Amino acid sequence: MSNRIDRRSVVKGLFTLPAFAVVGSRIVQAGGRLSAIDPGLDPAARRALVMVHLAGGNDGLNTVVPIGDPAYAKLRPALALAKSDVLSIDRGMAFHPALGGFRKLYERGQLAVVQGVGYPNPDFSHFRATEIWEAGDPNGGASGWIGRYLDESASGRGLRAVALSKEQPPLVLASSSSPAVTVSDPASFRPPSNEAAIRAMYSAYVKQPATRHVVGAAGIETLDAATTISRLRGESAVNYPPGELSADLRRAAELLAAGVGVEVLHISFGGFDTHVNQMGKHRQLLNQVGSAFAAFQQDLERRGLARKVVTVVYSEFGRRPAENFGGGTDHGSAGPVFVIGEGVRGGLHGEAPSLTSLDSGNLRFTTDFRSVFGGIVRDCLGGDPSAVFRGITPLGLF
Amino acid sequence: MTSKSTSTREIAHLLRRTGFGPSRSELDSYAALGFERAVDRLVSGLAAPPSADPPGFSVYAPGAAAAAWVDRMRTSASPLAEKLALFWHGHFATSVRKVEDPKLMWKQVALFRSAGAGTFPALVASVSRDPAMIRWLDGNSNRKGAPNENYARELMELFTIGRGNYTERDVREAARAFTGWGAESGVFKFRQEYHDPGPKTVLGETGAFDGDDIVRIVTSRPECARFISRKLVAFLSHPEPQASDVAAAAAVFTKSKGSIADVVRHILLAPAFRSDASYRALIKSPAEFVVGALKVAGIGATPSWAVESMGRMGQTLFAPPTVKGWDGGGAWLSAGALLERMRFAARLAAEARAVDETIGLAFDGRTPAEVAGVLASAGAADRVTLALASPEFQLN
Repeated sequence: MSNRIDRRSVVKGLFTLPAFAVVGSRIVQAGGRLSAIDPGLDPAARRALVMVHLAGGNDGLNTVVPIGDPAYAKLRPALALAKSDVLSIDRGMAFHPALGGFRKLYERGQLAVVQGVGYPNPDFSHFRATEIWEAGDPNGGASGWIGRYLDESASGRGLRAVALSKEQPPLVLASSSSPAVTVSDPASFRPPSNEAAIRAMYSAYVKQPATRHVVGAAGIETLDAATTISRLRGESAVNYPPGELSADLRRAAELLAAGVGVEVLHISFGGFDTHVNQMGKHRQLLNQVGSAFAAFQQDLERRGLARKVVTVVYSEFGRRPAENFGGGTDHGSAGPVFVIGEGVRGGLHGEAPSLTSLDSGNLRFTTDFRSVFGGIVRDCLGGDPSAVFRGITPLGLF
Repeated sequence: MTSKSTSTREIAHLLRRTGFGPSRSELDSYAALGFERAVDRLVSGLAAPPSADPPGFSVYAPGAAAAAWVDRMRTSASPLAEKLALFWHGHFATSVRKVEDPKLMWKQVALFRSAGAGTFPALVASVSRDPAMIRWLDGNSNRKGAPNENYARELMELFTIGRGNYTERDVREAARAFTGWGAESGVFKFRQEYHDPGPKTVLGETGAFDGDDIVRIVTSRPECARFISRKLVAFLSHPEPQASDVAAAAAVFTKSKGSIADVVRHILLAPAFRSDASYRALIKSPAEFVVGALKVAGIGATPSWAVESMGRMGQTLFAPPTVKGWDGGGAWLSAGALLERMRFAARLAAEARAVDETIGLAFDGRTPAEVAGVLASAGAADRVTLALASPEFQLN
């Protein structure tokens, strides 16, 4: 995905534009209020979006389990979960026993489960499949679907998109008008002591060509983001469970509450590539998932942000319905997508894929991922889905 | 730059690309050779056996493997061997996070160090038997009747020919050829009882193939010569190489039956390498930034905090983020990572030996005007910090 590298070549030192002053003034306006997500455009639809990628390919069938389907246990002699262990929901479906946190949200009507989400001619490579999901295009591409939303709704504000990561921003946030900022730990994200001198050097490089411009723009972006985020305050009062996902969600809540104008946050939580010995590993991972999101929702409620934030949890693919020799599962196709938040239409959406009519051993998708994300663009971000995806009908989840 | 005379700038450029930048003594001794003979010395250094691990060396202590490798990068008499090892580590990207055995990871990098300049088919054959790789891409669960496609897929997609040059069926068939290629107690083991001896068809060839046959088939494809050559040109010379430069390197690859030393020598001696367009055209990886800073600042030992800081810059050795390795280029300069580079600069500056010497080495004796102006108005205590945090020093 060389487009990630190219991304900055279109970044023309945006934070040097008056845009940043606007961010500054918004902070002043926010003056101590905790819920400052409102960008002041379309109050009916606008919510901040937290995208969480379960990286590696989450085994959808052992996450939202078709426990009532006799074909399920036949496909998985070793890996099938027991009827007595799973957490039943509706229509013969059940959550993995470790997803108590999800069931709680489900019962409160704050969790929508979209079943069988995928796209035609699925790809089985992690990187290519991730690119497809992030581009929002079954052919992949150079721009991210959230990036296109950011461009389409260009507001002239900085720091609209943040990736909580030690790595580069993901393709999904790649935008020509609103470069995403990556932050590993907001608490230590402060400008260096000799900021003015460093800024002077990087400003000079922004005006130069090729790689020199890339470095210059990156420097200015970094210093501006550090200035903004260093004003962040409001530590979490909620006890999060241990684990990396929890730590990132806590940071997300703090950033959202800081009122620095963040509209989209991206988190990646890895380890789902369970080719071997899946049972114990998957249980651990899902236990983190369920408890972390339950804590996150509680945190948002305490901060008065529960109606202002929507969380989407997805994976680049599900896994093959039939287990393999090593007590694991190989790369598959469709899987469930979770949409969490107050105001979400909770419950099961779409059809569970058939376990008997398979496509070369893989599930046939029942809901196109673009219609799920199109619905998110329309109903969560308040954007125009047709400007982001072509020829889709957005799924109504709100 | 002219090709006749060899400038300090040209030798410093060569030492940055083939290693981790110059120390004062390296700069002087390579400059005395002239450019072509400097290339000869660097490439012939690849043939020398890599030094043994130091006595009492244990990679099991936390962070020990990464610290030991960084120290080798800083001190090696054959920096190109370390540089190529780093290249292959990013190419055959394997992570200790799944392998869970630092010793196996260290051995894999030792393979890159000793065989990374040999022929590519031989390297791929060794990597296919490497116990860390077998753990990483699930070789032990690749068995007759229930093949695990992980290795076969990445072999084609990421390691040899690249996407678009094979089909799903090729992957499935190649996986069958690798059935039974496992590892036990950290040693490669072929298990006949798990191997599928039947005929397979891969990339148009049919036979009762095993893993070595697949390695031969994929590495002899012209797509492989182009894929590997392009990556080497982009790593050593220019981030967006001309098609003709890639084609010329690929021709050397094909003619030499995949000799990496020959391809590297060709790239270093090609006009594009010495052109102004290539000078400082790459963005330093965290390894290049950290080790380069230690060298120009004349730091005599590798501090453990420097290795930890490198991780926060986005490059934890032995733990690339995915099997695709590090994206590199502009992706190294995400806000968090660049901020960490600035912090690193301030901390290292406190230990730097000599201000003017450090700045001279950092900028090849010619500090760019935009940086020089800022340095001139800064106090002596801040000048090294600013030099190492400057945009120019992020460029390779």
